[in-house]
Amino acid sequence: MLNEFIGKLESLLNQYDISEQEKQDILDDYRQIIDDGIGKELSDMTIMEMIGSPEKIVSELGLHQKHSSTTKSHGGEKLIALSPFISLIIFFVLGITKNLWHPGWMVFLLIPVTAIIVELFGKDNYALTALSPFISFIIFMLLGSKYNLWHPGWLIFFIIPLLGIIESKKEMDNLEFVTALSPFISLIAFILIGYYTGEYKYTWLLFLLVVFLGIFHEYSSKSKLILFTTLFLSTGLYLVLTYYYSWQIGLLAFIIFVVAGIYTNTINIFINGNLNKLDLFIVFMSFTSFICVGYFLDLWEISWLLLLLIPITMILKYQKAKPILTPLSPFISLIIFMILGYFFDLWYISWLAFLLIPVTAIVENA
Amino acid sequence: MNSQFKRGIIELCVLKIISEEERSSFEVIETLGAKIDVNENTIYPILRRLTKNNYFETYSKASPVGAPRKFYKITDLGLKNLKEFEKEWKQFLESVLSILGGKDNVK
Repeated sequence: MLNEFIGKLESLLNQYDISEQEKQDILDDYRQIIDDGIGKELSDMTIMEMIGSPEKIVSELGLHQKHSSTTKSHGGEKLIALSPFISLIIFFVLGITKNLWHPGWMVFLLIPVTAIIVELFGKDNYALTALSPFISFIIFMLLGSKYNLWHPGWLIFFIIPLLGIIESKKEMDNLEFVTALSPFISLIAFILIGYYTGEYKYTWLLFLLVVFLGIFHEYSSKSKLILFTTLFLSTGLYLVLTYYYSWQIGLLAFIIFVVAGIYTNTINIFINGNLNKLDLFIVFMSFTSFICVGYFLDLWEISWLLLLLIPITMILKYQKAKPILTPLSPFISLIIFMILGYFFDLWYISWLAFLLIPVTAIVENA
Repeated sequence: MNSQFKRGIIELCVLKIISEEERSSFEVIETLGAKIDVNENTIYPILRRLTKNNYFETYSKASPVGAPRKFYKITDLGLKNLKEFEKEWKQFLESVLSILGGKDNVK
């Protein structure tokens, strides 16, 4: 467990811009702290609690993440500068001579694509990830316009984070890599299976893959055993209760797992400051409205959006200084995306809501 | 309590603890953790930052078991800053207490 801690800390430090000597110094210090704890006959668990998680330590150390400096070639610079004009010419030629205004406008994608290719290709960084929004957009448009598969075609956008994770693999061990991929794989599988079979009440169990892999990261073997046992127990009980009664009743089975999570200190609620009555009221109202809308209107597919009220109101309340809109933008985009897609069947266009995230970040932070 | 504010207090405590006795990282974490409800994972980064700011210097001492241990010792600059922090902190506390209506009002 303590060796895992050092390994994890080292792998995190590798992502930061620090010298080898400084890194070794930090690792040696933690080895010494651990040795001292063992010398005092403290349990592994107590030592872990004393030193904290590697993630928090690294964030507290105030290090700067690595960034690769890229130098553009003179020819590359010229190409980037020319790409808007080339695109414009191609766009007008296609439009005037072949009446291909649509999808001719897609040639404007050449502008960012050229920049990415010139800047990133051949260098040790994330060229594929950088290109993935354009690749996925083109595939999405083809799937939508040719086969009317706007939904679930939008799932193709998940290749953006997936490629990001794949390209970051060298900074992770195998378990971290699989764990990082698991939410996306579960979500894609959930939506595809749900879409084609209409079966959701068992399909959502795919998300437990994320939890299952997450438990492997637990340091204490005792906690691991408790969590695995209660997870299997809860899942089994859920299946039985869902089969004989309803999935809503089945969900109650997971209380066992949640209690085990709290007992093993795996489930933590971090609150910046103290929750007052208003906060508790917001949390209560969000959960109540989620359950009421889901149960009485049978809108479970969309009612979970009401839970987003909790982070939104907390950001509004506790984020005193700028940027305020940037942290809000993912939630707002998701709500717009789901409402347009679900109620108006505008999946083919609703994904544009996600553009709010980078746009807000640029406007607010520039 | 505001985390930035708390961090400032922990810095002061770390300076004070090491000014009283040269200690290892573990001893600092242990001493402070026993007295203040503090996120232990913040202590080492603070120790490291204060060392970088030349408030502490480190040296290795042979250990009867295992590798030599690293110890922290306060520097003159550290002592000077400790005195300033202590003074500021006491003034701040007095002002707060005067607003709250005296020491008896604080539990």
